[in-house]
Amino acid sequence: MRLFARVIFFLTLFVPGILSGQNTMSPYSVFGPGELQPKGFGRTAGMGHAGIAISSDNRLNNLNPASYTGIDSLHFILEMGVNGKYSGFLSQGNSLSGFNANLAYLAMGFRITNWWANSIGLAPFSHVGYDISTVKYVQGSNLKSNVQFKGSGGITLAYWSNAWKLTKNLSVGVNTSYIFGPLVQEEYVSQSELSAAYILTRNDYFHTFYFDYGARYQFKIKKLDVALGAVYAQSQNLISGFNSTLQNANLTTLDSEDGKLSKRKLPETMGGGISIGNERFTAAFDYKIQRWAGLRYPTMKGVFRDAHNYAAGIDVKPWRTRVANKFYQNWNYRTGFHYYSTYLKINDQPINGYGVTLGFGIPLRNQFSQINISVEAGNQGTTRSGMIRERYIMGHLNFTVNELWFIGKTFF
Amino acid sequence: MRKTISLLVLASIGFSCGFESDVESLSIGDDFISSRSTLSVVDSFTVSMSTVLIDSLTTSGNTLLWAGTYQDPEFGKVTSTGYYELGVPGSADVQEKEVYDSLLLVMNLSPQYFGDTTSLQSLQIHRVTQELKGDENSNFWNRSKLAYDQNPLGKVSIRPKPSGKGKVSVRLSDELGQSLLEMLRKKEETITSFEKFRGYFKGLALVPGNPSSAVLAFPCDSSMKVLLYSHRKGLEKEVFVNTFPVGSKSTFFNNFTADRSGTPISSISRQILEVPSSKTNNRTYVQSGIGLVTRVDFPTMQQLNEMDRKYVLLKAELVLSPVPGTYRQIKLPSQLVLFHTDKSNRVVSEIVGDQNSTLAANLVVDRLYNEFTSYTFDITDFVTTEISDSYFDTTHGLLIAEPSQVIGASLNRVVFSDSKNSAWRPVVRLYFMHYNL
Repeated sequence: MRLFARVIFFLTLFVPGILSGQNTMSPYSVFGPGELQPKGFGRTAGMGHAGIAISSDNRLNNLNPASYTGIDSLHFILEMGVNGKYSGFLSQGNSLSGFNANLAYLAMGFRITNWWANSIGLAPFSHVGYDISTVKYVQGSNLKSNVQFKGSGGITLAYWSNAWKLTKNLSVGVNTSYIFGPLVQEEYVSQSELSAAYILTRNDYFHTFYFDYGARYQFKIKKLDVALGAVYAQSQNLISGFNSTLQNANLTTLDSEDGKLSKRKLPETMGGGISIGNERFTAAFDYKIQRWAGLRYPTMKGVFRDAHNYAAGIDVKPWRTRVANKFYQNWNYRTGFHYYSTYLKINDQPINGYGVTLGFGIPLRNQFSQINISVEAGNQGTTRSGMIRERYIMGHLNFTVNELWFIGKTFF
Repeated sequence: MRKTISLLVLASIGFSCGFESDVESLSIGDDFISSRSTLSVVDSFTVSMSTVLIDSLTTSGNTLLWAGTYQDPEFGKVTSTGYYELGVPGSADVQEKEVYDSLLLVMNLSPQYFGDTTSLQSLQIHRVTQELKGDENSNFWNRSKLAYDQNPLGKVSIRPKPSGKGKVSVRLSDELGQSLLEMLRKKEETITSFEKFRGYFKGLALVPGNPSSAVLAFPCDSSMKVLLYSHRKGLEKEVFVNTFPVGSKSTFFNNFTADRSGTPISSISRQILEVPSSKTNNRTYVQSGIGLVTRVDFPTMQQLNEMDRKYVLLKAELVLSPVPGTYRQIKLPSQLVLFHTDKSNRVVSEIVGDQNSTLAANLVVDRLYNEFTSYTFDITDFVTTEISDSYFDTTHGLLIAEPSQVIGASLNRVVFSDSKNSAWRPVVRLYFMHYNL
């Protein structure tokens, strides 16, 4: 419990103010539900976000809901992460850079019986944050007007995972998520000669249940632990309402509309992974596809295509844990790589990205808890065809806190 | 466990939040976004025009007396007669032996005029025989005409200087002068009180004589006075002057008339009967003093209520161009204003800006080509009000005239082109913001 107190203390230092709701600054977040956030916690963040086949042991793994059966029966595990990202954007000679940070996720997991485990958590699904200025002509004249688009918000998942151990080798799991959060777009129109200044605000807010499923099969080949994982989610409607207003410069509402809209969908998602390891290392490889093609979202141009994601990573523990070890000899060392094609193809230009990760797992005094630090350097998009290239360095700090949970046994 | 829960609560509060460094807004990404607004200007709405003759304009309360007549190539023969009341001398001391010398009307000539001032201008001063009373509100109208003695009290021929300024003095009838001196000598009550005097001497009329080719203006202020000269016989000749000023600033007025025969607008008669521009050479007319105004209508503007997409009307402008060649000799008025009107062509109210400020259209002169010489009127409020009830009443139009404080005091005039003439056609420009919610 003292450890918890320290974690809180640390968080209050690291997330000062927690002021605005803006979690990204990528112009690409204008599309669809925004910039999709990778799943996973501290461990997989250092492994190129690979880990569909990795079990939750002393660290939770939300890449696959079936993984939770691996939680040790006496443990109550808490995961908490903070992200800080420095991005530089380049497009047609324009450049833009900035830093943003946010509390990324919060989750806990525990086993209820030998064959049944649970996890609940909050994790971001997408972030929206853009600020785009344009100059347009007043049609039919040579007057110019300024239009500024500001996006904010994002979608959050609150999930409850159930994992069941069906046989010694096979586990299955299901995530029951509640998806919520607003996508806000403000459009500021101004034209000085006509003394016109108006704000169009569109607020799409989501409130819908979402289900996804996972399976994990583990076995041994000689002394190696091998596991296969699979995840699946069918295409599901995003039930959303919207509120749209037109205001003048005095913020007097001139026109407004409220409504329900369920045209938007989240895509069918499929993924598979494999992991191989022993007590000194774990290597993982994932492939995932999201079928975005054919889906449509408001306030954006362009169409979607299917998104593919390849991830590979390794987690190494070079030294056996011993009391006499030097501090770094007790650490986990991780590295990974992921390459992805996003669901965007603009001006015939696919928007793809990749990232290289490096991570460390540092055990805390109670040897099951860890601080995980990872750094990711990545690139998304291209400057070709007038597109935008983002280069970023993202730091990720994660706390994995294990509590021995004695009442766990008598809970049911 | 309790601490764990409180940690969860705390973290949940901060969960969806973050912070970012200041980032300026750039045009990066503008290809991605589909705007929900479109600004546009539409100038295809029809503007139909006609000329209206206002039955009566109040011309009292101005500062100038106009007198003369001139031939306007567009507006016919224009004549003005000025009337004013004569006051009494402040204090008079006329003795028995005093001998009458002369009676003079002295006036300043204002640089403003209409017509041709290169030749001699004859002006006659007549004695008004009808009381200058005005209507129940003491207003005088441009068509008010008063009877005056047909024999002039005096005549003068004026040759205005090129600068336009000058002094004019008119020798008035000695008979009148002697009788005024006699009354002053006797200190008759009639001449010591203005109230009595105005019953006896009703006023003076400044009547155009022959020849007259211009309408001249005289400031009706302290510079306009009748001087009664006399002298006393003694060792040396002593000269005395008694001054009869303007009696009342509120009772002088001008009677403007026009003989439009031979012009395209010769048929115009009653206010209720506007004359469409198609019957007047595709032109419409504005003439202050006389009461000619241009009426503008927007017969197709009901379409605004039938547009597919939602919109905000940002601005509405009406641009009217005078016909070139019609303002070579007489300058265009510097400002014009709009009045609401109805199907009977009544002057309903002046269109004003915020806080009742005048919303005048200033003349923009294109000195090089005359092409863009025009008046631009802001009709945003008019259009917004008309469409606010989803029905554009096409019997509601606009009258174009000089501002009300000027309209009765000048003979300024404009000839507008209607939409038949493509170069100077009237244009109504509507600026919209169309939007999708």
